[in-house]
Amino acid sequence: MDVPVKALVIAVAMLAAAAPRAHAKGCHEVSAVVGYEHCSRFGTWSRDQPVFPLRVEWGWIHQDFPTRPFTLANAPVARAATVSGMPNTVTDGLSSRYLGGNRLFYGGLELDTSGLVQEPQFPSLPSTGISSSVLTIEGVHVSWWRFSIGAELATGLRATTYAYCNDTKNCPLSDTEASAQVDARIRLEVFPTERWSVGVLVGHSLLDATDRSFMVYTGIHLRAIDGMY
Amino acid sequence: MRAAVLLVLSGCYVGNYRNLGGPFVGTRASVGCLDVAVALTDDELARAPIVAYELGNHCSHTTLVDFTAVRVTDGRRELPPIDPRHELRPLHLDAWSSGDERIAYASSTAGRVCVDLGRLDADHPGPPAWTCL
Repeated sequence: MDVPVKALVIAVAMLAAAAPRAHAKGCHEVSAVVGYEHCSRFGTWSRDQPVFPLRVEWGWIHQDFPTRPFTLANAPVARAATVSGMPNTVTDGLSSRYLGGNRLFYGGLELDTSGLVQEPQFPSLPSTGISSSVLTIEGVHVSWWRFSIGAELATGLRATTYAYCNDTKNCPLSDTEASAQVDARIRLEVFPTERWSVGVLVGHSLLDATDRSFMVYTGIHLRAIDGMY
Repeated sequence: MRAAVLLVLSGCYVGNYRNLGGPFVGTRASVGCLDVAVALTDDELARAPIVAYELGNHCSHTTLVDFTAVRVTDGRRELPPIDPRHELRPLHLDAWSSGDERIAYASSTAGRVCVDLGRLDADHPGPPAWTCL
């Protein structure tokens, strides 16, 4: 089970737990009247119920960042990539975010996994690769009607593997570069319903002026509009 | 996936006395931020009269719903709610969210009742708003 599917299953399970009227297996409701209910209770519709304001988001993330120097030293060909003249590495992939917070602040974890769509090229060596990031998120957000805007700081590590293949489609030449990631981001989202959002996010690294990211995402929220109003 | 979507969308108020489950059933009234429908209903365990409330918050902010402030009469006297577990208390309803409750009232008869919803929205209490069922 890959990460997004697993996250969906977890989110659905938590939503189910937050919806006490959904009868649990083995609990037969005997009445729908306050005081007579067996499986439910008064006020399940209320925000005062103890529901953590978790939001889970999935999205497509595009990243464009400087290629760090790496070396391909394995036989049969040893090559070195140098900073000069190397294009930026560009990736497209999936991002999953697990956030929580209060009316103004939020924070959480972001996991990104992307394939390389642009990387340094070497003659007669087809290339491939993958980039993964683990980030912590701290941000502030405000809402207006069904829209919200937020600013956040994403800090963590990015690991990028560059792999080069030979004619037999083996890829013996590879190297993985790790780098710190500190991004300032702006997000704008709309809530078609109070527990479902769609948004865009634009990020810019505070460490390198040419390191940028863009994400389109959708999210589900255990608390309406994350309780921002 | 369908179940997940239904869970995510449950409790949404789409306005005009409708949630994603369909239109509210009963006599309609608007009090403060709340669109309310009330109807008499029955139950296997609880005795009549039982009032079924469906409510939706049409405001873009949360509001306080206070069922203890709802007055119900049978035309002769006020009927207290039956609340053996002492659950009734003011609770917040999120913006664009809906909810429903069924509350039984202590009465010796099961005839016509009138419900005053005027103070159901405790954040925006209004004048008496009687609905007779």
